[in-house]
Amino acid sequence: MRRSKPWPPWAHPAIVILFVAGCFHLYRGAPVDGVVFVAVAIWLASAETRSPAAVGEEYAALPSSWLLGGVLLACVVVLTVAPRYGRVDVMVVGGIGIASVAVAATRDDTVPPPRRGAAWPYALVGLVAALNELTAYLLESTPAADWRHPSVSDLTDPVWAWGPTRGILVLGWLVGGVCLLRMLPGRVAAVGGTEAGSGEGAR
Amino acid sequence: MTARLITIGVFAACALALVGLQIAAEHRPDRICGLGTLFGRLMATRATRVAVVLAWAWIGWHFLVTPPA
Repeated sequence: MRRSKPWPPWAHPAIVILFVAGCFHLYRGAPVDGVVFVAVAIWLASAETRSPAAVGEEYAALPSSWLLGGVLLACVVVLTVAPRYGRVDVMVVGGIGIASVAVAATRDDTVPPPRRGAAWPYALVGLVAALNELTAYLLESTPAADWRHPSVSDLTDPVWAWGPTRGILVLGWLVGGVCLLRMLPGRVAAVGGTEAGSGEGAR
Repeated sequence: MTARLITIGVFAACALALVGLQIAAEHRPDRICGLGTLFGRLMATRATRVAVVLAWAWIGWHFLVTPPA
């Protein structure tokens, strides 16, 4: 049985964070990023209000290691060799991103692993890093100020620009994605009559 | 120069803190939650799962697809 939350389903903190991040993307002049974040936040708010995801016990079955490794290697090679910011990057990264979010959105919920230790230190570190990034963004009004207050993008750009190191970073990004894939719960059991959260058994 | 060092130093401190927290979690799991458990919990429910996966996808999009302004 689920523990009741202190917020309504549409105001889940993750949804609020996505919405705020989307608004910030729009403010900083990244309309595609902003629209995607806001759209996903609105969809999540609607989905959480209408039909809470079913709770399953299973984790998603992964493709074979050979297939996964082959696809991962192919993506690393393509993203390393292809011209930076080119159409190939848009298609490959965009395709991976859309597919990943779609898969994550259509899975059951599952019983979270038990937690004994505190998690708030991670949130604190993330908050400090985010505020530092925000400060850098707000202060980098001129090239000189940009140099005095570099963002993560400014600091890591030379590493992304050089092919070999870009390959390593792309590999790290994709391995991170595979790690998330391994944590995905199983697929929504049925569509239609016993759709997610509609039956008593889903709770 | 000082402002630049401070900005970079805060980022470096955050990265080191994450490593330190993970090491602490290995030794004292009753005090600090490990990253595996943390992400396992985040991936267990739809709202946080979609947010985490979207954040991960955006990192690739931001650094590989979006040219600097």
